[in-house]
Amino acid sequence: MRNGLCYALAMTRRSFVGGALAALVLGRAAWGASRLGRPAAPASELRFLTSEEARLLRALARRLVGRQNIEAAGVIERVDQELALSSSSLQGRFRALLSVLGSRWAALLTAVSWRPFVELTPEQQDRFLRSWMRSRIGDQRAGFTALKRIVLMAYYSHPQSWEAIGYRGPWLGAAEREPAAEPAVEVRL
Amino acid sequence: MIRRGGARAADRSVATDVAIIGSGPGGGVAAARLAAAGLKVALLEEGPAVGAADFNQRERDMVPLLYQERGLRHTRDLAFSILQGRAVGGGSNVNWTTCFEPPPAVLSEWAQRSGLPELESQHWTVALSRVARRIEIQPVGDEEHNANNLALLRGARRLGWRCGNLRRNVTGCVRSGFCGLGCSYNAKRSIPLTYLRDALERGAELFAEARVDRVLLEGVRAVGVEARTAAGGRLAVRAPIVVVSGGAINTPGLLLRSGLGAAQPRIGRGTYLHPTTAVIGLYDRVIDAGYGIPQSAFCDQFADLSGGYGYRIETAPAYPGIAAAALPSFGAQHRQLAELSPHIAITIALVRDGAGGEPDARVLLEPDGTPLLDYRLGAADRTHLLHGMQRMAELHFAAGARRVLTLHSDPLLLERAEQIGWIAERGVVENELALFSAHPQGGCGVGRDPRRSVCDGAGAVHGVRGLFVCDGSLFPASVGVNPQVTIMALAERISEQIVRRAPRLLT
Repeated sequence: MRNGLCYALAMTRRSFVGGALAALVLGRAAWGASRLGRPAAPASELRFLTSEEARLLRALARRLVGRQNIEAAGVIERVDQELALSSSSLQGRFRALLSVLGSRWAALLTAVSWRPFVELTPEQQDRFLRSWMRSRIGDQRAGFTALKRIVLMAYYSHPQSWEAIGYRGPWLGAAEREPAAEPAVEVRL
Repeated sequence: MIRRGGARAADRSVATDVAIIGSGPGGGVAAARLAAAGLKVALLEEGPAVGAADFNQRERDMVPLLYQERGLRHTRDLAFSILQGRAVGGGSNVNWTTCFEPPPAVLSEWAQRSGLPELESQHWTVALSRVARRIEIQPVGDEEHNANNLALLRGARRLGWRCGNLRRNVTGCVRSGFCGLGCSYNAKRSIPLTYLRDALERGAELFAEARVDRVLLEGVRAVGVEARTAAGGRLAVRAPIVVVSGGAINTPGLLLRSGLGAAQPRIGRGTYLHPTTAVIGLYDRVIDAGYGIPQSAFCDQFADLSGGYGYRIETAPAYPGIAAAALPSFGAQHRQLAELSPHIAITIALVRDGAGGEPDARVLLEPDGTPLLDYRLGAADRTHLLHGMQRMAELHFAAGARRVLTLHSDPLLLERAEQIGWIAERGVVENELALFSAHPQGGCGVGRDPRRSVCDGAGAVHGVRGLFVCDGSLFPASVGVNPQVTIMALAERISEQIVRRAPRLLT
């Protein structure tokens, strides 16, 4: 029953969030545009992301991963490296996406706040991301997908994350594999 | 001889009989067969030369090394993640070793659709047996399944669905489970260990880390290719025979970059994906889907729902990064699901797309020349995918799953079989449901009629002398099974045709 209720709530929120105004303003901004002006130089320790973009991505990644220790897994550095080595087309689209996500308009249109994403409370940030995830606007969902994919791939492919998810890592060089404990599955969402 | 083209910053030009672009299942087979026929072959590969010593079973290192666009390839609308191999050996390095022959009914459909009777199944026998022998295809034993594949078999058998053990191209498999990140044990009979070895022994030259920008044309005649090395040098290969084997998406991309799009409007059209999504069963027992043979069982009960179209159910391994990126939601909810990873069994429905006709799909070029696939899932294929998700949920419950989870962004967690109908309420919506493809096909389809196809039955591009395609982009429609064996058998057949035409082209 809980799922049915969640779904009903999600549909209601979609009606609230999705809307002509958002479609008009954001439109195809994230994925249609490949350039939104000349970017600033990359942050000193990074190859592609500017300091401002890195700050935004860090805030986004913390909420997406749901853990505070993303630094230990080097998420920002990893995403930066992947982008630096990607095609200029993909770089342009990702930069455009960050530009939209970091704008005050995006926060306003998701009915969260007038403040940009990095200045929102964690609860507001989650509301923001949820509204993109559930949006009726395909480009918003695509933007959420792109961000989630690259951030979670970066986090969970790092050994730092493996213990928490019960992954025992490569087979190569591992000692004899011990079977994992078998607690009953308890799922609550 | 292997040359690391990427190490060369200086410009260079070589002359040869045949230039083959791409060293995967299409190009690798062609290189071996053409070199065996006495032709001088130069093989150009965008990615690096890699081997077992490089394969460390870590996604972080292997995905960027072994997959197209560092694992970030996607459709234009981002709805599909596309997993395609890169590096010397192409998709054969990362293939999960599943080997199916093309179904005879599909080949009949291809023959009819293309107007090429030679595509009927009886003409494939020799090529298929050659491939089976060279890559050592053998059946999986009952004792070899991991818990993930056993869950598929258990569920399917309890429901009375047709299922079985599949066949694989391995010898001496240690069942580590990391096939998708390259075989660290040289057990997988990949292209570098089989056909490419044959080609090099017969004098073929391999240029790794050399990305071909365009096919060089003089009027309507191919005269070679121009490549860029990783170090920034130019490599020109002059050859009267050019064989493009970059795989669906890259092959049409190269032909478009070469300026052939205006004369050949079908280039990049007719691309198929085998649209795929997963349904996850959460079991009390530990499944550890990341270890053991990734795919060893299948269920084809629903392979023919309408006119030869439907889907097959297979399994997928759980590598932590790829799996986490596909799990629903984000933040605390996502974390909770990720922590259940050892208990998840993953089945996938692999849809034979095109049930309602050719998909609305097209390969485009980005401003920097990178190919990009614009693909719209057809209504009938969408229905089959939805059908597959529901049947997979049923299968997991029958196999003893405590809960079943779809890959909708907003989590849909089923607690009992009576709730399976909820899946239909959610439907299949782009970027609301995680969708994948590891099987792009078509885009340079074969056919008798140049207005409705790109290549003739010999793989020659209509209207261009000396230019051939030899890979999965030749498929005139989707094949419906894991396509590697079909690609290799087709490459065997195309190579014979090229050898037959070579004397005329070399003069």
